[in-house]
Amino acid sequence: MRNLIAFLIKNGAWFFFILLELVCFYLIFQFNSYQHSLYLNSSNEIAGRVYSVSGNVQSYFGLRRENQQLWAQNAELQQRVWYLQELMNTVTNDSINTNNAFIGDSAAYGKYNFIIARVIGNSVTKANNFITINKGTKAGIEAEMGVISEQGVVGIVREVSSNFAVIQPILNSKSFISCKIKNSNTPGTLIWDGVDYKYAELEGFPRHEKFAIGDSIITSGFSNIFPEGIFVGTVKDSEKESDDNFLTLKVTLGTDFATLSNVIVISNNQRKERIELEKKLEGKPKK
Amino acid sequence: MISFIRFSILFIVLVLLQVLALDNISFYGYATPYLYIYFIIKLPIGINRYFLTLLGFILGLTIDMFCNTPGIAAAATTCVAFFRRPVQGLFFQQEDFDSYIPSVSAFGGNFIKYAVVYVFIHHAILLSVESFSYFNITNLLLKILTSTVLTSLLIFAIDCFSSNKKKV
Repeated sequence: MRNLIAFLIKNGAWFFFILLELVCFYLIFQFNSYQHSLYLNSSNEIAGRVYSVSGNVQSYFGLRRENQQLWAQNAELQQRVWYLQELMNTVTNDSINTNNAFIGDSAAYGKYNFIIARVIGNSVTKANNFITINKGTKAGIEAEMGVISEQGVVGIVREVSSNFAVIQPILNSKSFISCKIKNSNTPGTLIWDGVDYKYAELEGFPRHEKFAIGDSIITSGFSNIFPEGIFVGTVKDSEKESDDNFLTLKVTLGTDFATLSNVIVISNNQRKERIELEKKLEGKPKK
Repeated sequence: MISFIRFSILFIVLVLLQVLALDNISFYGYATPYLYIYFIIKLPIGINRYFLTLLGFILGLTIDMFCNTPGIAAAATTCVAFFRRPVQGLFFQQEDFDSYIPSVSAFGGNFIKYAVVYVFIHHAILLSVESFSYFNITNLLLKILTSTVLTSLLIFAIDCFSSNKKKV
């Protein structure tokens, strides 16, 4: 017994060290499981405040570029308004067509709400990157909401506190976003290979399916996070997978994550309803 | 007491510098400086080993909180804090252990060797644990080496600067 105590005292530092390392690795693996309630992330108040002060200062540096982007976007939207107005004029000439054309559309867009937020913390250099934004549950943001920017898809909300939220962008090993090539209905999964923040990969694309370099990649709308048709990027290159029937497409991401400053969070009003419906189906015993 | 305040300030400054500025640096997609390890390098030589390990853990955890990497920086920093004495033993002369705080001006070449090896160990652990999810050995080695060079250069620049000021 005395020997044991002497041994413990002699090697106490080692035990202390191993204990702390165990805590660290517990945290690492805890974070890997999807549902975790750990408060050790930048949506907490201390980290959020520090980032929001620095974000306030940094937002002044990008004003000129931001302004130019807004002008460009404004022009584009104006153009679309004119186009729609013209379309409406032609359609109103035929009242039967009007009714048919608008019933479908308004139902599709009415179910999404948009919340605009500012990026206050961001990284592109790590293997698992995260983005912190300056709005949280008070603004109506919840976990699992989709996030886009004016340039394309950004990621999915992962953690929310009352005033801040952490987004898991495409640039994260745990991000899988269901995408497809514009004008085709074959879905593939968008993942990131952890090397360059400008590119991602679309996996599982069937070889017989036609595509061209420079084609647009858009969200498929199969998950209940993103609506269909949001721009993701363009095809840059393709390579064979180990299985000969599929290709991996290299995708140039539309969103420039390094200079991201404003994002739009999409809340889907019908999401809960859809999940409940799908749960009901899972709960039923199979016959 | 004065050194306690000095080290507290050093801690806060290094953490803020790391999370607000240095974390956004990535030369050619590879080299990112992790300067916060300078805090562990500079702690007094005769410091209690338990306290040193605990400080490493707290420093790593603080960085993790800001960078959304729970446990990764903490694991690396705790480990190097615990093995600081053996690494120092490799490079320091007997009489070096009599002085209080390690610095370039007091130790010269020994400090440089100690700091480079120390930074290398830290970066190797940090980046290896981080790249669990995408294992790409060439990419990982390049990242470790370039980041070590960058962090070491920054450490020498700061250390020379601060010790010159003291002499004047």
